[in-house]
Amino acid sequence: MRAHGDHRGGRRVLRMPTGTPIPIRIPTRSLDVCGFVVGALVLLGLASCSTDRDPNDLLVPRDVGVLTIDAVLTVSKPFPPMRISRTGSPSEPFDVGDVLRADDIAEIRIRNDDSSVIVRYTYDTAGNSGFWVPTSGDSQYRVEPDTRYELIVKTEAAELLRATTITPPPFHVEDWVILDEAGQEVVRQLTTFDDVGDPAEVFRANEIVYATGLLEARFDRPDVPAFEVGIFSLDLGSDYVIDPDFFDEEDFESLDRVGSSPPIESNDGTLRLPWFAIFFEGRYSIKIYAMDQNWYDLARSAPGFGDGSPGFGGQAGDDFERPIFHVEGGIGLFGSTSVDSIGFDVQPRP
Amino acid sequence: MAKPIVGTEQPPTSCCPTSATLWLSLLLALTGSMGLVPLARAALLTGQVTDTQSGEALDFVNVVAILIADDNQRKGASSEEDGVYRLENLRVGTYRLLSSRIGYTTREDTVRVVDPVTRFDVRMVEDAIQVSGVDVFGDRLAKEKELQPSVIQIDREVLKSLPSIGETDPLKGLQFLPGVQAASDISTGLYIRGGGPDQTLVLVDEVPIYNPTHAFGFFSTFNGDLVDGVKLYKGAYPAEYGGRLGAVVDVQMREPESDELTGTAGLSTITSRLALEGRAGDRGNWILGARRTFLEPFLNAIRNEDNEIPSYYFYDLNAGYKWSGRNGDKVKATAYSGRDNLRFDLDDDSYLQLRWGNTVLSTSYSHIFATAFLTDFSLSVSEYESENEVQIFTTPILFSNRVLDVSLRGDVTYEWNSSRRLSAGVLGSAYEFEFYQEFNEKAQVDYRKKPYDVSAFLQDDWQLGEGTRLQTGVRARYFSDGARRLLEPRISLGQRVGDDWRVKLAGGIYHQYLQLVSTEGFSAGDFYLPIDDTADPSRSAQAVLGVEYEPSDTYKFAAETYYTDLSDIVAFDNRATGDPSEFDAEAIFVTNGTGWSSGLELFADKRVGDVTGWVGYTLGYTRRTFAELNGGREFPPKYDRRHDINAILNWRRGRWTYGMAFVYGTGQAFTPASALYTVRNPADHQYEVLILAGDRNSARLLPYHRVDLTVSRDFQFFGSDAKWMFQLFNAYSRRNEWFVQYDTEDLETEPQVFKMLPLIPSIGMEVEF
Repeated sequence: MRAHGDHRGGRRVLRMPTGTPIPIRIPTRSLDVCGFVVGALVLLGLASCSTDRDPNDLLVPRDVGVLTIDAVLTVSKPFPPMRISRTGSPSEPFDVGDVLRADDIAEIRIRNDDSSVIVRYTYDTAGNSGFWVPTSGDSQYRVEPDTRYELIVKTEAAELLRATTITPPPFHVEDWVILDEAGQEVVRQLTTFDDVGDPAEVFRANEIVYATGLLEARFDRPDVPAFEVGIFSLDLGSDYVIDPDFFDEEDFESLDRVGSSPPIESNDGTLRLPWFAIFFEGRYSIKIYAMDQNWYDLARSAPGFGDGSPGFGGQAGDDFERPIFHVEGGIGLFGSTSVDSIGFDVQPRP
Repeated sequence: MAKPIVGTEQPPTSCCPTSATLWLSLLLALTGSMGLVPLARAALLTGQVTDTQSGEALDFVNVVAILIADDNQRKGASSEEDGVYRLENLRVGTYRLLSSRIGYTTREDTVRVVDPVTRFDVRMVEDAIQVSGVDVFGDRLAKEKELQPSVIQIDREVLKSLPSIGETDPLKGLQFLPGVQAASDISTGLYIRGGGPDQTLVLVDEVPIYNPTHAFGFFSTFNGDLVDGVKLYKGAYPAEYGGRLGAVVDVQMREPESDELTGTAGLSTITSRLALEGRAGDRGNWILGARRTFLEPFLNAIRNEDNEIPSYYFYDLNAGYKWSGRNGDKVKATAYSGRDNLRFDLDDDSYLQLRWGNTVLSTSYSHIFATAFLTDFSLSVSEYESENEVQIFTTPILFSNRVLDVSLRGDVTYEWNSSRRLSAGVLGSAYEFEFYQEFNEKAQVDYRKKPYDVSAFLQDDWQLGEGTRLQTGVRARYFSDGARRLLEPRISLGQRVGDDWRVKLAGGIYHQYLQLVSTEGFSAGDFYLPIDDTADPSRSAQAVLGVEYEPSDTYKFAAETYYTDLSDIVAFDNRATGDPSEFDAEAIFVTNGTGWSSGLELFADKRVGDVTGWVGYTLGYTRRTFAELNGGREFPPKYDRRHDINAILNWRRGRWTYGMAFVYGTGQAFTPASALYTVRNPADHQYEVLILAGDRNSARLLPYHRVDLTVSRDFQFFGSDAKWMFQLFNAYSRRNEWFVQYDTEDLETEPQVFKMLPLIPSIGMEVEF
């Protein structure tokens, strides 16, 4: 144990290993009060510089102009339109319409492992929508489950972007049920689109009073990394079904009619819809997506992607890290999914 | 100088002869070489110092025993208020006993010390001439103990003199030392020499405490009135400690000593507190302390329909009991309980409730055996638990965690001979880790684990020669999870050069099983998880080289350089989903990381006089590498701080005391935005403009600096000593930057810088009665 000191009435006190103090009288020199005050003021003056700064100092444009792919294949559906763009500078407004068009790209094709399916893409010149779509000759192809597809994009500037996805198996929700408030007992079975051919009949059959019971999907879990839930309010003019005391007008205006969950592993083959995802009365469509590895990795690693955005600390915090893209020669998402959905109608609380 | 009064040898009084064969056998087994060296016996020399004329007991008498056969064998102590002095662990033999006190003639006696206890009373003769010769001995003894590098002891009085918000905080006080930095203004987390808060072992009277925070880290759990001091090992700590990669903070609570009922009451703008101590029976003493915030009336007053204000309080309770036996036995029992409670009712469907706290119970028994053994046994329980509930629009979310540590410890210290001390100890800890997460009435994570950890250490403290001290040690560990067996060698070497210089060298290997999962900046939701058999425990190898120059008792200058190599380190994996199928180390952490930290610390301390204080400077570098982070490239963690300056100034003038603290640090590292891109979210078909991160932590916030000021004045309050304090935290209200968040609404990147605390004045008063 080392000696250490304190002061008792200006007297130096050393502490010995036993913990008992030994007083030692040592002459000391007082500092003039004016010196102390002046010194403190000088220090204050030197130190009190402003923390205002140019926000652009917090941006470091570097990865500008990188090819960005955006395409997700859905099992049993035709090959989707895809969008190819480039990254922009963070210090300038982003132009979402600035995509690669017919003059920019030499070739886009998707092929399966044995090349028995090769889907070639062409720019949607008719609509000039910014999308690339399968050529008319290849539009008959449907995305197969459990299949590996490779995407190849060659630009006129001889850039090569390559990515692959393995599609999930087909996904089907066995039961959509309403549980009691404690989540223990099934109080109601919902009608599915498979049960009734007419979608309108499904919405009529599945009327639910807001915040009454818990909506749960039950399924045989396919071998996928995780699931995401998408929720869509279909009646765009419907009233709010919530009326929280702590909301002001701006808060209400910021509410979206569409939303999504973060990736959920759902290891027991059930998913519950939280009521906090529903703000409006009227008809809703809920989709559950079985995600492929590419989508899952991007969703869990890209801050701000979907509603699974990072928590405290924001995007520049500890979790602000280059996402997992699985794309060679560029960034973005070339993923795949299989999906099931249900419709229901939310009624306000009496 | 007056000629010392020379006394004659008096017959010793011996009592309580005992045998310690069992313990001797144990140590023989541990050392393996004991049979080669003749055993030296140690004893306790005690007595009372009185004034010859009046017979009154004298306190503050310096008593130093010097073995006549070997004058390197010296022990010193000071008499207590009742005049009693105690010199422990003396080698059996004949001593010169020098007794001195200002205003009295130095006395020299010859005493034959036998085991186990020798009583020798000293009678002092008043003298107008002041002498201080014995102080030199005492100081030298103290300096020889200072040959362990990277260790700093801060006393209660020094802690209380440091500027703070509201009241003394031991952990925040440490943040004024070189090599130590805080995560933020509202965090008690310590980043020491490039290590994160989880790499520092925080002990309270040698019992680990797992989340020592109140108010989200704004305060530590330690009531400053009850803290006696804090010992900080910034690195290369000795074998008696283990379990963390970096540093050790040992908070020493006050032992009750008062024979009468005494106390301290304090009031600040945030808390009120009370500490009482007194005597229980002939040989017992007790101490009680309580502290609580009293914000509720204020919060209730400002809460209305338009102004949602949460309800918050914290409290802590301390209790201690000490029993001191005639033969040196000591029994201690301590208890601590602290809780935080935050409730925020938003409306009928939405609320937030956070509760967390620590409970610590410990009891220890110390016994000095006849043959130079000092033994210490303790049983302790340390529990941290938090339970957090959130309900948003009727959707309930619950997450809770708990760490329980039940430890049994036995330590033995043996004075081998006049220049060598052996210590050995065994520590067994049984843990319970629980982490539970529930969403929408459905359990997502229900993690429960009960590993145990057994460790033993052996330490040899050897005075090789005049001013040379070699301490070697080894710590062996077994951790049940993964059946890990580890060996951790430790060494330190100190050499005094002349009277004023000391050179120190130390190093060691350290491992860590328990990992903290922490949110940025705040400390409330933190929880610990053990590294199980899915990953290797983290390992560090540390080396420290230091030089100290102490030209007088007034000034001390020190320089230390350190290097730490890290392997198998882990980092919390933010990419883990909320309901992982496996809740093990591999799923929760990014593993197999490496890293290093290195730096130079300079320290100048003025310890004597009306004006005291210190200045510290640290040049530091810290790097980490993980295959899964930053593209596998090396990066600085956010607390990598190149330059760090700390200055403390205290000026005492009569009843007034003025204090100032200045802190400067290189801006915190953060990851900047390097590009924007857009991808459609397949789940809701919405296009999102996203930010692409640049190299991890490749940019810096503005430098951090602030000045804290404090003024206090002693006065009498109904006959009791009292003091009022006025403090200014961040006196020039610099809004230091905390973290950056990017907002990409409207397709433009708007960096938002969140700021730390502005100027916060506080006022307080305390009374000692």
